[in-house]
Amino acid sequence: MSRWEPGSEASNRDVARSLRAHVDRVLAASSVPDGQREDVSEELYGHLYERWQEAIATGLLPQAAAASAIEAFGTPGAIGPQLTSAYHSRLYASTIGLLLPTNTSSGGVEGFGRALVLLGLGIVGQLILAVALAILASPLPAIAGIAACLYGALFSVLAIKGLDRGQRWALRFVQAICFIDIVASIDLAFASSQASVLAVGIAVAIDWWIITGVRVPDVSADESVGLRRLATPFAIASLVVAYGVPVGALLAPDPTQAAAYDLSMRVTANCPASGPWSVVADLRWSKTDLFGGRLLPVLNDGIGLSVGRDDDTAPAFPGDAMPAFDEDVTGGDLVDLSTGATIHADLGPADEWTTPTVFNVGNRKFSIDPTVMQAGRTYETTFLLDGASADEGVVWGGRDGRFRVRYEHLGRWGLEVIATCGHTETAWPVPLR
Amino acid sequence: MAKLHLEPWLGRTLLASLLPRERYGLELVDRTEIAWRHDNPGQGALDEGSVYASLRGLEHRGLLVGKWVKVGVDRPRRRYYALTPRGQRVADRQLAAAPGVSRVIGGVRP
Repeated sequence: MSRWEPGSEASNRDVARSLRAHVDRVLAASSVPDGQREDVSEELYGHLYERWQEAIATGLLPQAAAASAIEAFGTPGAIGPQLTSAYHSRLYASTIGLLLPTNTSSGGVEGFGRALVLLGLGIVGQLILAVALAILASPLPAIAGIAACLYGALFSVLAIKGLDRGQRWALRFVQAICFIDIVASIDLAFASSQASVLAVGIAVAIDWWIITGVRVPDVSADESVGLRRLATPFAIASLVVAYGVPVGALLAPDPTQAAAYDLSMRVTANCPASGPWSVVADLRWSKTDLFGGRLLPVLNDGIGLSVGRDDDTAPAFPGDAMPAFDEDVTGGDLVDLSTGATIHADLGPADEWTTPTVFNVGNRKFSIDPTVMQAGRTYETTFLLDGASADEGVVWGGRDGRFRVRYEHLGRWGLEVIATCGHTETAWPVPLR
Repeated sequence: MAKLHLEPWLGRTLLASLLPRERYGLELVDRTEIAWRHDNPGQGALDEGSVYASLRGLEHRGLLVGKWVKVGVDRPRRRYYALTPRGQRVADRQLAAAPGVSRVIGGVRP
């Protein structure tokens, strides 16, 4: 559709250009669909032109007449959002409509490809982080973190569109990502002795290459009107949410989940002169997990107890006397001492943490469903050390033998206690890995 | 007038203005300004651009239909608006509920 242009007088053409520029500013502050933009532009320009002609007819000079027509029409900040509302819902107009105004003819964005790569990688990273949260984090933080990841990915898509439309907030969004990446890289270099200086240097160089290489045309005037002034702060805040919440979900304590200090574990080692030896653990919770497990039960670490000989003080095994302790430990079921009910525990091999290197005598892990635990009750489990007796004291460390018992909770925290024959000890929190 | 109230006010006024016949933008702006001064005495002038935003919104919702009309050499075309059958029904209902609108803007059936 061709635009109407005024007559051949130079001064009139200048005025016509100023009218046209005002229409463009109004449209740049709106989110009129691209297919309607030309049509709306022609109508608004026609209005300004006729008002201009009317003002001249009243005796005003052409420039003053144009200023009068423009003033009566309204500012871009006032009319732009109203045009957006004409084509979109109120929710869209007050959110995406502010971030993605009508495409302007302000020219291409320099370095768009670089920003596209960065934002694309950011989207992939957010999706990977969402999966990691579903596997690793407890349910509520996982849900919050995944929501933040998806929000971040969608906002990155918006940023790609915004950058394509020459929006300065999208440029700031890209620069903020690079800045965070640089700070994180430098922090990693200081925090980890294994971080390659070369790798960190390359990451910083790439970020700097993007920061200095991406430029948008000067459309800052379009972002200084009405609520659009909040576009850049909103974009930066979105970035903080998109990255801060998932990281916080992984690292911050979850108030809905039990912590190490919520479990009191007391262990007694019984080493009678005749009959089998046993290790008895009493568990009492002051608070249990509000939601047990994880969103995606990929990891099978559950909760569990393991028992083994504490080899630090045990005598060396004579010759080939190494026992197959894996097959010699039985029991593990929990008994609710309040009701007498039995809670079945699955017997399985100990994992990395519950197989400490000091356990050169075998060990077993008894996995328990954490959702059946209730706060304020005491659960007791007994490990029978088959074949262990005073006669075989050499195997178990003798009458003064020491047993190490560990409790692991969903890979998040753990307790440990070393019990000696005939004594009761209280477990203390220890790092898991 | 708050923005939330401006939009429905403009919608009612424009629909009523188009009841007698089709009109183009500037013509509707002039009529709307008369109604604005009547309904909002003491308030500032109505932004003329708001009328076009409202017209586009009504058209987008299927209450109006617009068509371009050439009015002469070296002059911009005019966009005329007319009520659709649905817009006609809405305008009739609104006029029945608030007949005063008709007197203010001259929106009387021919």
